[in-house]
Amino acid sequence: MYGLVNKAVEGLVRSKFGDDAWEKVRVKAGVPDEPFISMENYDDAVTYDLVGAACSVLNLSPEIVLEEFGKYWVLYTGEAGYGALMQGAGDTLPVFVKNLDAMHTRVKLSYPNLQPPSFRVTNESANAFTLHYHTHRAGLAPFVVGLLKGLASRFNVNMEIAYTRVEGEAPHDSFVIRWEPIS
Amino acid sequence: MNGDGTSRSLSGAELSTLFPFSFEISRSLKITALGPRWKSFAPAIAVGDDLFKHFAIERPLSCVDAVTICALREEIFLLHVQGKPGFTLRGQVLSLDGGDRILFVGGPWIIHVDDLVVHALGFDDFPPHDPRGDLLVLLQARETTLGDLKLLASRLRETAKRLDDRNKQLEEQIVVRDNLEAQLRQSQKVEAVGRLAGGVAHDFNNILMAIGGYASLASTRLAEGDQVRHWVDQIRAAADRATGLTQQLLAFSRQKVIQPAAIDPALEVQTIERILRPLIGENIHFIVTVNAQLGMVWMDPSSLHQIMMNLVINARDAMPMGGDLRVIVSEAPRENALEAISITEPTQPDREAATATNWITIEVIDSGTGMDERTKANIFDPFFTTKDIGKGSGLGLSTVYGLVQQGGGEIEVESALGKGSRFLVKLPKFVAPSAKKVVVPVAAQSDGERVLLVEDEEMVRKLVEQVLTRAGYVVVSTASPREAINIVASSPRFDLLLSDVVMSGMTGPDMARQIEKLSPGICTIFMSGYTEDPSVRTGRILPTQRYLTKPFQPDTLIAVAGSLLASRK
Repeated sequence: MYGLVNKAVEGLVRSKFGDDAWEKVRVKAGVPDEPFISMENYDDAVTYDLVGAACSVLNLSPEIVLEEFGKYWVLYTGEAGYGALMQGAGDTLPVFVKNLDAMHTRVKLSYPNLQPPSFRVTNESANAFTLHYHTHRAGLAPFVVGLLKGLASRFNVNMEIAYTRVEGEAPHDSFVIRWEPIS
Repeated sequence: MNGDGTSRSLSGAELSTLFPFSFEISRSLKITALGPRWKSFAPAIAVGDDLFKHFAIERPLSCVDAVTICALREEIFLLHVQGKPGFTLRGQVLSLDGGDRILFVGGPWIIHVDDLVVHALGFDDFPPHDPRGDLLVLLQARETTLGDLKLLASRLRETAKRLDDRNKQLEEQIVVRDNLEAQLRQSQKVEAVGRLAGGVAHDFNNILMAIGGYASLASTRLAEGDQVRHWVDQIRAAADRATGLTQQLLAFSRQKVIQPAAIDPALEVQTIERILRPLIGENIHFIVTVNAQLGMVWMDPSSLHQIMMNLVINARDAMPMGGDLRVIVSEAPRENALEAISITEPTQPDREAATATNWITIEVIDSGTGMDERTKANIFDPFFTTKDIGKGSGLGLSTVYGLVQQGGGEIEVESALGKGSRFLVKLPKFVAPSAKKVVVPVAAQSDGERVLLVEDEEMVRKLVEQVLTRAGYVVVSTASPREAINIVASSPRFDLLLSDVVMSGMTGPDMARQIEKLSPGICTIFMSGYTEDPSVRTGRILPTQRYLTKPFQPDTLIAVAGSLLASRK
């Protein structure tokens, strides 16, 4: 994964648990004390080690850590210089989600080794849609739940999420989303 | 072109999808159609409006009519939209129907990713075929990279500062270490040369003792006015001069046996001033300033004289054409009084210990030639001299250095070529309850007291034996400290032990401690010009002990022995 993701993990731990906690996580994961380079491609193992170390040091389950990371990712990318792109992707929840694939495809221009997931929207109605999440990485459904909750906060909506694992020829995670604006 | 080889035009709807910011004008430059994005982006623009009411063409220049615009249809057009500052359209024109219709196709020209927010644009405004959508991502990448570079630069600056700070610390430590090493080297040099000088002086003292002593004995047998007596006295005088040289060697090596006392430096400096003034020369303005009521220092007066003598004569020699020579004696606070030394006067054990909290300082300042850095760095080295061959031994300032250190003091020097020199001697102030009365020993005849003489130098032993016997003492002599102990063990009735200090097999003080156990109350006189025993060197001996510096006169020995034995009674 790109350094941007690892920087977000660092930012999450530092902002929620403090610099000392990050130092413990970093040491436990065996990561050198140097800044992550956003556009440098790191081995996926670095990110997994960081998440695993965070679970151990913070005494949290991987599901909780991944969900927190998903929420933080929306916040982080919005604040870490990606705000304009995020804003350009849409000013409503369904438009934004439908633009995610296009945005990821464009982002591959500057992150050529990026292996982004794919987000497809079906069954769209006024206040509901089904999101299909395809990825070659396993176990990231809690991360998507966190992302959706982060987007709900970004677009100021209430949201209900129903998760289903779809097996078959194209196994993926499916989320039925019901949302309504917070009045 | 279709797959079957036929061609067709894009429909208006297709064009609108591909170019949401497109618009069409007539030959008369009136707007005839607008792409779908204009309605929400700039509602003021309407069909029928004049082109230049809403658009300004930045490039190509001189596009003021339809003919020119059509002629430049292969050029890149940059258009500004009225009421949208900073917003630019980039595209080209197509001439349709022979120039009756002119179609602009293009889209927003983004040069900064924040323009998206400023102009309320989104990804949907950049259709998939439009590479400007990718430009957004590249612009974003540039921002991200710049952010990383700033972070890295910040970390680099912090690291560089830490390294710089550490480097400064190391440089300071290196300077301290270099200074310590220089001091160590100086100390080792002085010690090595000192051992050599001390050994030579020891042997010379014994020889001079014999020469001077026998000359004294011979002199007493000759009548006054006898030519032979005159010659013998000349021998004694030559021996005295040689003695002065050995004393200087021992002082330099800090192995001279000193007899320190509480002395008034002001008085001593004034005394030495009278001796020095005739030596200075009339072309030198010699001023001595002594601040009254300075207090005392704990030092052998001859050491202070020697310090003054060397510094003042050096200053004189640095001013061959004359100049100013000032000696200032004053008092200064000691920087770290907690580390001040304590000195106890050895011959008065009940005396209170005194702590030196101030320096007594002696400054010798001249307006002479001064020294360069190399000379200044070596002036305290033994045998280093800038004087002509035969005019300086190179021991003067080494001797001063040794004497000042021996006195628990410090010496500093400031000098620059052509600007003269300033030597600052700092001696610890001695706080004493009262001044000591000096008792001048008087030679006296013995009542037949028994003396055990221990001296491994035969010519000295025989001389001293003769001197004591002639004075009425009963003398038993030996060259061996162990034999001396055996003698006392078998016959402990001795009144006085007279012993050399440095002997083979056992030192005089070690031997004396054993003999004093065998013969309690026995008095002891050590005689030496050189010793490595610190207690003897600094004069810290018992009340029943005395010290005689070799070489000494026969009368002095008899006087000291008589005085010591009398004090016992």
